[in-house]
Amino acid sequence: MKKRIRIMLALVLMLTLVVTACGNSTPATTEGQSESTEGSQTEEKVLVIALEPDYFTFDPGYAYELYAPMIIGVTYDTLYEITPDSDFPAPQLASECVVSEDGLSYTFTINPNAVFASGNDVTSADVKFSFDRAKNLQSNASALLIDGEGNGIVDIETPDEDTVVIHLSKPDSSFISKTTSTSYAVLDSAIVIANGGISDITAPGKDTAQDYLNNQSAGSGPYIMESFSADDKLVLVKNKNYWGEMPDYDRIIIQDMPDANSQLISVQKGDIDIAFNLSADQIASVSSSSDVNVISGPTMTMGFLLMHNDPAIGQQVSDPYVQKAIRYALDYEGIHSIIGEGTVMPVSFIQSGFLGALDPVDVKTFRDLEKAKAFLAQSPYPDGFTIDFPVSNLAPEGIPLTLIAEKVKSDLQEIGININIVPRDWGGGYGDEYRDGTLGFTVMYWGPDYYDPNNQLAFLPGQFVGHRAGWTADLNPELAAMHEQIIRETDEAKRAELLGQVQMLTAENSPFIVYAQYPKYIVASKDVLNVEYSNVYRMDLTQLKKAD
Amino acid sequence: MNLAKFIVKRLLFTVMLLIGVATSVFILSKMVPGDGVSSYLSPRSLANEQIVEAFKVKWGLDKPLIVQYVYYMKNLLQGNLGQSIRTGNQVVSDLVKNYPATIELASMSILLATFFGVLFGIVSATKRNSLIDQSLRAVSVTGVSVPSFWLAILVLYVFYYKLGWAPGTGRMSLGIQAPRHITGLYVVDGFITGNYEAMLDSLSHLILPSIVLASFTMGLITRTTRASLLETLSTDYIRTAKAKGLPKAPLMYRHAMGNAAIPVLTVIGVGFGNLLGGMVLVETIFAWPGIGQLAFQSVKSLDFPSIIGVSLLIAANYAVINIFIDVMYGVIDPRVRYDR
Repeated sequence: MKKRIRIMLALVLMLTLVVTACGNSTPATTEGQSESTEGSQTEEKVLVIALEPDYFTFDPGYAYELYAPMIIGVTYDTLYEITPDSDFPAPQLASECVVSEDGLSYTFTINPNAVFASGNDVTSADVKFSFDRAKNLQSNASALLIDGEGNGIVDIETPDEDTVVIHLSKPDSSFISKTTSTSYAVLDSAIVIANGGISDITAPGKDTAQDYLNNQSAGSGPYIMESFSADDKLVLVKNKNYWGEMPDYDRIIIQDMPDANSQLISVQKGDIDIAFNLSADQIASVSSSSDVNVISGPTMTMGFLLMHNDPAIGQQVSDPYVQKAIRYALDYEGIHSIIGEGTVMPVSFIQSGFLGALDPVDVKTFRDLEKAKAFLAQSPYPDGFTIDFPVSNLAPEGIPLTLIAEKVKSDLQEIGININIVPRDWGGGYGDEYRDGTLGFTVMYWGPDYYDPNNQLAFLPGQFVGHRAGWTADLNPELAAMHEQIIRETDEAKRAELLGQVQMLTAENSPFIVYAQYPKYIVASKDVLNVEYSNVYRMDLTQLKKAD
Repeated sequence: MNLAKFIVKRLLFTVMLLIGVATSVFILSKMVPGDGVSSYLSPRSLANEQIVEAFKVKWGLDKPLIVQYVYYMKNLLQGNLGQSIRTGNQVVSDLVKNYPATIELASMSILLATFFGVLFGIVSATKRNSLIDQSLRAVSVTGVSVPSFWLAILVLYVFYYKLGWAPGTGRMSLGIQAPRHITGLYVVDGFITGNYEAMLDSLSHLILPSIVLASFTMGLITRTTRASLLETLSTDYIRTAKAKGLPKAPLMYRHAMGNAAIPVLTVIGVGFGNLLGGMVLVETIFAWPGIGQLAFQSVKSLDFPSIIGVSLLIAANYAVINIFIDVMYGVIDPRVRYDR
């Protein structure tokens, strides 16, 4: 009998727990957060963003991941920045910049008002420390300060506290643009040194500041990083010592939410304010919703087909006529419908929006199967052929490359080219083969490392992406020479003209077919104003405002 | 004494098992083409040999395979699982950080699965071939056959979004302060520290993911309980007890259920292990910061030190649960001996 009573009690307790749990089911909203934290925090403006993050470090000396600039961009300042009003860099920490006649020296004057969150003044010594450290760490970030051939920053001088002189190995018309990237974030050197930071050539083995910088920021931006827990959330709070215009939100929580469906229903329910990783299909289901705003904008992410020029690697697709046939056989309109509304097709590998970019191609009229067949007839394979098409498991802007591959397959079948799609893992070998330039025919994507069209010149013959398609400088010396010409051209109008010429020359004659410039979709609560996609920061958090 | 010997023997076996698992995972990770360099370096950095070399040196990828293995096993025996390439933290600290969230979810799930599984199994067996039996069997078959990712999306949509009966993703509502860290189990920590708001909130966040995780195991337990109980009920000694006029309840709970419990216990043990493995998708959909989410992110970014750490942890869990289940056999059925 006693045993039965015990069992019954256990059952009642269990049911009570379940019922209690279900009863407490009111979802917390951002307003609820303010209410639950009584007293002084009732007025706090809190923003919650859901994201499938790729970041794992916030040390500007290492970070390069897609979403890292969203955090580093508001916790640190750079000498120049890209503002929402203009595609051209504007001064941030620098109050002015003088470029020497030979284009080899940049003298920046630092804004005397600039202070770090710690209260320390921002000085030229901090700039030198930060750039030297980022350059010497030999990390992803270092590649923007010095390239594989040793081109880039060779020396930094600090004649006084407010002046920093940067010497380059050769003129670089995109240098100011590069200084807007997170690799050039200026760190509070006193704090970083105290936590193991080293800026000289011994940095790769001896610098131990990354652990510190992964959990705390040491910059002069409008926010400071309060906490970061991988696979959980990151919290930013307003920097009370910020020397510029104060942002609107007091606290920003970036919640890890890898599943896009969960993001979508959470934003509709009001538990989060912004959902970041949604596809075009998901957007369609909320486009008429009165509770949320749908924001879309073009990204600088572009998808392309690579056809290797070396016959030993590219086989049939190394033939120039086959390359042209493929270019005209693809149904770009169909491909764009897979990617979603807002997709555009750049003329070549300079994305729409960049300096000198030509108007996008009209995808409704570009496809020409007769022309494609005619080109194929001029090749050694007039009756078509069969070829392997390795495709990685990557998904730029949430669209798997395998989906694009399927469409390419069905399009090319119409002119007699049969492709065998070979699914591959990016980290499991595909990435290495792509980097080594041993893939014959594939589909890939590319996003610029810094906001400047010079970044795209990596696709030219003899440059590192060009090499991946076997496009060596000797195959097109005229085009290869334009790389140096554009890099050295400091007159923006002339640079734009040269970039236009590059696009004209490569529109039909290159081993790359750029099929799309991807759009980005964001769903935000109507309570959040000024939500925009930023190609530099993914989202400029300082611009967001809470609706009254 | 026999039981103690048995446990020591099983623990030694567990150590051997973990060494085997560690070696297998290491070999598998090295059989995968590529060394992860492409996963971590940007296209621009990949073109810079100096950066590529520095990366390989930093992570020991420049050393011969056998040297990598010796270092790896040496560190492992010292309890050092290495550093996660993705998070930059020690793998052990990542596991320690994420483990309580998973244990909390798995415990709640196994509790639900066991309670409802055994209950449904008993009802099914006693009401054999009735409408209730047919319905419960249908429920258990559905639980076993529905994919967890689909069920997760479905329950989120219905019970969180449409009906608003349960909270959505995460371990706690964003506005509520997590309880002071004692065990890492929010419900327990909330209770110990008297932070009842946090305790109830975290308990409510457990509901949907634990229902999803419990559904498969509950189905298995229901079916096993029913089958085992029906078999026991048809034995001679139960028939004799019935003939002698033993009341139904003691007959069922004391005599029949005790003997039918062993297969059920086995299923519960296996189910608990499966829960830990099945966490990956459910934790990802529910943004649950546990071992499943860690596994998902580690696999996605080819973070081999972390992948090995997660594999070892799950293997260790299986081993410990099996030891526990073996011990429980003896408690439930004294005929089970450990000295053979």
